[in-house]
Amino acid sequence: MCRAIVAAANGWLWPAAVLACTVCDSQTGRQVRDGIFGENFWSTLLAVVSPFPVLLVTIATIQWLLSRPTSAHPYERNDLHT
Amino acid sequence: MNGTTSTPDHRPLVVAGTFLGVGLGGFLDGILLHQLLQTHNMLSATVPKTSIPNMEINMFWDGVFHSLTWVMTLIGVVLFWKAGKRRESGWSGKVLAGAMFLGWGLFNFVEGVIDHYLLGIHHVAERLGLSAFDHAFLASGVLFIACGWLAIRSARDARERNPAA
Repeated sequence: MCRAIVAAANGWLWPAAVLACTVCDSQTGRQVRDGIFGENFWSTLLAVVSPFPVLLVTIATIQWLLSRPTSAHPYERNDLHT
Repeated sequence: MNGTTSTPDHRPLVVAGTFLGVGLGGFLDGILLHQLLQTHNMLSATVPKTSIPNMEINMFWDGVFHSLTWVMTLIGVVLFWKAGKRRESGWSGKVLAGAMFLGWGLFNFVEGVIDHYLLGIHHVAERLGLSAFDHAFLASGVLFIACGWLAIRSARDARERNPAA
């Protein structure tokens, strides 16, 4: 009950803040959507995502380095005895 | 194995731990710096947090970023599970901790170089711009990578010297 009263009071006192979500049907909500899905959407998405392909390639490189057969490689050494 | 003494293969654990380190490192950045301390958000250098719409836009892109760290963590959990099912897997807490530090360091270094320096979409302490905090963030990445790699190598070398241990 108290929570409902507080939520209602918030909505009445600060409607812009309460209706600022990305799917809200309000002026602020539209501004948010325009800011996200505007002309910079794809370039921003590329910027935000860009560290992850680099990280994936780096982890793949680490796996390759660990798998690389060398004369002193501890994982390969036992194969000589079996 | 087949009755012979076989040196365990730490590679699956290293890869799983590295993914977990990347994912959890990303979550730590997001939870500590974006949410608790609120020193920056994903686009806080290009979309300053000076209005409610701008804060909401930053929150959206924070969400995109954290979705990707969630995927990295999930990949780490799946690989960790697969590593646990392999009989020849080297099950070492030191290797796992080292790999997680390696992943955390990789996250800090790669994210720091790309987002803070090359693209400049945010900085550790946004009100200062590119600052000593960004250099420290990058240095922490290098330090964690070195510590993680050394821990993995030392565990591997110890196992090589004493396979029964």
